[in-house]
Formats: sequence, C-alpha cells, structure tokens
Amino acid sequence: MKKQHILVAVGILSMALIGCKKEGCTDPGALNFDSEAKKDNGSCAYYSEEEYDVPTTYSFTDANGNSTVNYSGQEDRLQQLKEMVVMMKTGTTTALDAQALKDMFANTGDNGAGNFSFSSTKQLKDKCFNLDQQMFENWMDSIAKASLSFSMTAANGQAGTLTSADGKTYLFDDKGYEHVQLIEKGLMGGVFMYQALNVYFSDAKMDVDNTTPVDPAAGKYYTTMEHHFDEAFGYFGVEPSFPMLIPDSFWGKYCNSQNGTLNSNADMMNNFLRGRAAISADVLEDRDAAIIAISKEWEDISANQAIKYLNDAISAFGTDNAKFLHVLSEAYAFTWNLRYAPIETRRLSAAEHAAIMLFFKDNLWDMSVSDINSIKGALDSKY
Amino acid sequence: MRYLTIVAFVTLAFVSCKKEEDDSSSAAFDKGAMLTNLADNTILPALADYQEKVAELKSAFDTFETDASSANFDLLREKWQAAYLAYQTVKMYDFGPFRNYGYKGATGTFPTDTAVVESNISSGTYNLASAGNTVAIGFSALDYLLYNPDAFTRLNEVGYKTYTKDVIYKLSDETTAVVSAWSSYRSTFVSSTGTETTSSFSELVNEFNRDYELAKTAKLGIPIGIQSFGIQLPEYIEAPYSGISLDLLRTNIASIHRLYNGKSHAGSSNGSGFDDYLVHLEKSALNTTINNTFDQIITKIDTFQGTLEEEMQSNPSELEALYNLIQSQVVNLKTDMTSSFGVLITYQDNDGD
Repeated sequence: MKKQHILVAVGILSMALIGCKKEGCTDPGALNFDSEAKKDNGSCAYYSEEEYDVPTTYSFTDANGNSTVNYSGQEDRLQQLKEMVVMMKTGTTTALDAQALKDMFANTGDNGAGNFSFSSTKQLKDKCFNLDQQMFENWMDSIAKASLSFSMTAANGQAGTLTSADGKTYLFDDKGYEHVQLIEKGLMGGVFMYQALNVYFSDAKMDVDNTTPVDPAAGKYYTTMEHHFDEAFGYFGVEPSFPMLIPDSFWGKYCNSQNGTLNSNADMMNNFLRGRAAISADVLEDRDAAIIAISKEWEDISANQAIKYLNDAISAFGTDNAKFLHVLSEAYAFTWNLRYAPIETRRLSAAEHAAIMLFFKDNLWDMSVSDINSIKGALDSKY
Repeated sequence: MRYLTIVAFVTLAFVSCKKEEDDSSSAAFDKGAMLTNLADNTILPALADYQEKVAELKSAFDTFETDASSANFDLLREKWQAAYLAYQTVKMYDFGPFRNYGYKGATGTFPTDTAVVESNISSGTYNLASAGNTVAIGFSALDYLLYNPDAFTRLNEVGYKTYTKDVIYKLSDETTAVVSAWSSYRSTFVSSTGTETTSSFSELVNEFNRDYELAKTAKLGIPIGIQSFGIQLPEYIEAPYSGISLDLLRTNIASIHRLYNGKSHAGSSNGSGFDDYLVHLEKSALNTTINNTFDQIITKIDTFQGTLEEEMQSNPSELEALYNLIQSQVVNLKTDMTSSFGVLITYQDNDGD
C-alpha cells in the first residue's frame, strides 16, 4: 500500500515537472499553431504570398485535362490490411494460422498465398519500418497462439475471449493484450504514417523532377514529385472529397474522431490540397510548409486518439474488463505510433517515447489507474 | 367544414405563439443554480456522509483487530453495511474526481472473484490497484471476507486479516482522496452548464442514466436471467454472502430519484433539479410520469421480504415485474428527458471496432 502512494506522488510530480515547459508555435496565424504551447520554439510555418488555384477536392489535372493523381499502390495496401484485420477478428471463434498472416503481410505469391481476395504486386512488409517488421511478425505468432484459447474466458494469466458491456467480443492473450489492435493500428503507423511522413515527404522523394510527365503514353501524366506527394496522400487513406465522405477505418477515421478537438479534418485536407497545388504551381516553400503542418497534425491525431482511449480505459476500469483491455491495446498502438513522427517535427524524442511506452506494463492486468494517468500525464504535457 | 378549418388555424397560431414563449423561457432556466443546489445540498452532503461511514468502517476494523470479540465482529459487519449503502448514494457521480481515480471500478465491482481473493491471501503479495485485482477488492470482496461461513474464524488468520485490512484501508484512503478532490472540483462542476459532452451538466446527465441502467441490469436483470433466456444466474448477485442486494438496489434507485428532484441528501428540502428543468421546458407530464414511476419502483421493491437469492427461488415472476417496471422508466429518462435537455448520451461508445 505504501508503495502505491509513492508511485502516485511520483506520477503527479513528474506530470507537474513536464507540464512546465510546453514548447511549440505560439502564433495563432501560423499553419501549425499549437494552442497548448506556452513558449515559442521558432517552429511556426506559413504559406507564401504566391497565388495559385487550390481545388476543394483532391483532383488535379494537367494542361490537357488529364488527371495527374494516382495512388493505386497505397489503395492496395490499405485493402490488404483490411483483409488481414477481417481474418484476425475471426480469432474470437477459430484458431488462426500465423503463417497465413505472415503471407498476407509479405503478400506471398502476389495474393497473400491465396488469402487475399485480389492480386497485387504491392506488399505491406517491405514498406514497414524495417526495424519493426519482426515485431509485427512476432505479434502474428502471439495472436495465433492466443486464438488457440478462443473458447476460454480470458483472465489474468489466461488467453481467451471476453465480451464487453456493449456486446462486443475480443480475443486477448494471457497478458491481456488484444493483438489485432496492436497489429492493425500499429501497421497504420509502421507502414502508412511512416511511409507518408518519413519516406514520401523526405528530401529523397521530394527533391526530384517536377517538370516532366513520367510516362504520358502509359497514362502517367504526373511529375515524379507530384506522384510522391500523392502516394503520401494515399496512405492517409481518404476519398478525394474528404471530409464529405469519412472512411470507416485507418487514419481518415481517427482524423475524423479527433476533429472536435483538433479541427483535424480541415487541417489535414486543406494542407494536402495546398501542398499538392503548390507542387503543380512549383511553389516549393508552400509544399514544405504543408508538409510540416501535415506531419504535426498527423502526430497530434495519434496522440489525441491515444489519450481518448486512455480515458476510456479509466472509465472501464474494474467495470468492463473487455473494454478496458481493448481500449488499452488501442492506446498502446496509438502511443507507439508517435515513434513514426518525423524527426523534424516530432514532439517526443526517441528516449522520451521509449520512457512513455515503459508505462504500459508487460501484463495489462497489472495496470492501475495511476499507471494510466502517468501515460496520460506524459502525453498531455507534449500534446 | 369551414368552422373546423378556422379552428385549426386558430390552434396553429396559438401553438406557434406559445412555442416562442417556450424558447425564451427555456433559455432563462438557471442551470448554474441547479448545479449549485445539487452540489451543495445533494452531492457534497452525500459524499461527506459516505466518507464518515467509510471512516467508521475503518475504525470498526481497528477495534476488531485489537479485540476480536464477536460483538466487535458484528459491529464491523454493521459498519460495512452502512458504508456500502451510503456508497449507493454517491456512485452515480462517476466523473471528475471519481473518474480521475478510477474510483468506481475499485470500489463497487461485483461479483467478486473469490479465487483471486484466496490466491492473493495465500500468496501474500498483491498490488490491489491493478486491473486484475478489481474483482478482489472493494465492498464486494468485503462481502465475502466478512460474511462467508468461516469469516469469523478466518479473521484470526494473519494473511486473511491483513488482506481484509488492506482492502478496507485502500477503500478508506481512496475515499478520502476523492472526497477531498471534490471540494476543489465543486467550482468547476457548478460553472460547467453547457451541453457539450465534456460539460459537468452533460456528464451528470450521462452518469445519472448510466447508473440507473446499471441498477437495472447488473443489480437485477443479469441475476434473474433477463439476458440468459430466463436462466437465473445467482453467481451474479451483488453481495450474496450478506444478502443485502435488494437493500442496495433500493437505496441506489432512491438516491437517483433524490438527485432527479434535487432534494437535499439528509433532509426533505427540495431544490432545483432535473424535475424543475423539465417543468420549465413545459414537460410537466413527463416529470409526473417519472416521479410516479420512481415511487412505484420503490413500493414494489418494498414488497419483497427475503433476499434476492430467496426471492429468485420463490418469487421469480414478481422480480421480473419489478425489472419491467424499472425498464419502463429508461425511455422516460434516457430518451425523453435527456433529449429535452439537449444532452447526448455518450457512455455507449460506438467506436465500431
């Protein structure tokens, strides 16, 4: 009992300490204005005075009216992850095959060894941040192992399923983790967010040709730079008319769920539109401003979604174990995804991020409310 | 025919006139005054009373620890009952300080998992704050620890006694923390009168509904078999060892009714509450229905003489009638009242996955 009091005190103290030095852009007129920031850190980004047309939906054409937008490879990968999630969710009623999941991850034989409903030359695995590929494959082993106990009731030390008060059934491993959440939401970070912000928005993919259409004879009317930007947009995973249409999964869904707090729908979409229009108008400083704004907003969405799930976990604590473990697994993944925020704009250093992840215990059944409050406090101080 | 048309027009004009009046008067309802009344006359006195009862439970344990007489054992049980009943008068305030401490889950989770309790006792090492132990702490665990057939004897075992003490002390420490946090939270509470989902008013209306539904489902519906094709599930009865589950249900619903009317916790003075707000919105008929239904529920509960477990064997159809009566009020509260207030029910999170 005494130990617990000390922990609470340490938690509150560290919250207070971290809370003092919230830095960010303090100019409300800037693209990346941070209402929480108390001290300006010189990061404010602005658009230029240049004038060019910015469309209201993500559709761009060349002088002859040919569409210059294509991100079919990203659409394939989004669909692949969707089909993996469908398979993983059957783990509440049937034993899963880890190899099938790994074949889907690597898209073996162009159709996930027969597990996908379509063929494609694209795969998730080779686009996943390479240091984390093994972690995801290990999680696939874990979910397959947990699913062997699908007929058991999950408990501390026992894998199995639990049904929440609102009637949803989830599969947990013997330590309370729901791996379908770790894998789905984790790959949203490890592939989609990582690729968009760190690969396609990187100098290597942005300092490229922006004058010559790649291959008009093959319908590729876009420049290489335009195409790279579109591929980043493809990983955001929304319709060109977003937020008129809201997707039912991945980043567009969570962008919309944080819209009330962050105004993220307009922020994300307007900056994608502006950045892409700037490329076509060859106003590269605006492209760069858009990239900074998108990168920060994307990170904010992940952090705020994590905080939302941590709050949900506290409210389910002791009253709905299924919900508690489910949302805590989601919180884990969205907190983990802060790892994929680009180094130029990220709010957490790698060491700070690792320290926050350590608050998630190896066994979720061992988590207390003060443990969860420690994670919340650490995130709140930065976002 | 013509006469009828004229009547219709006149009625229309009259109604639309009246509607405008409604709007101006509803804008004038002082929600701040209502929240202030609820905080000062209902919530804070209930919390103070509850805290006192928990303190008495703790000191009754200390007394028993010094002198394990059967009189002191009876006193300990009596104080546990009083505190558990008092908990029913505050458990619907699961927002603000309650939420920050995860207090409700650590206090009122039932049924208790006696296997986890026993394994904690025999291992002697446990973190009572962990999620895995929420089924082994709080009032429900004490129901087992103080009322199982061997309780009196086993309270002389060191491990059993220490565990009981740890559970009571944890409850006492957290109660003190939560109640004292409310004294500073009060000003936030009374000033947050909006209908956005994070406002105090919205949280109060949400938790009011949630607690009512929990009383209906967890305290009664699940054990009597409403969700299991009528197959009774006695293992889900609250407080099965002491047999006070119907008393807990009664106090819970009576407290929700008290909150609804904005009545003071101890006395009978009736201040501004949800009832007044409904009347102000010209929903007097709904208000009357709600108050009558609450009265009928309490009257119905009072017809049961035995414990819930006994009544489930001897009188299942009357329990089902009680359940149906409680259920019939949900639409009044959750649908009609809540939408009149412009509050969104957010406790059923439809995240979709």
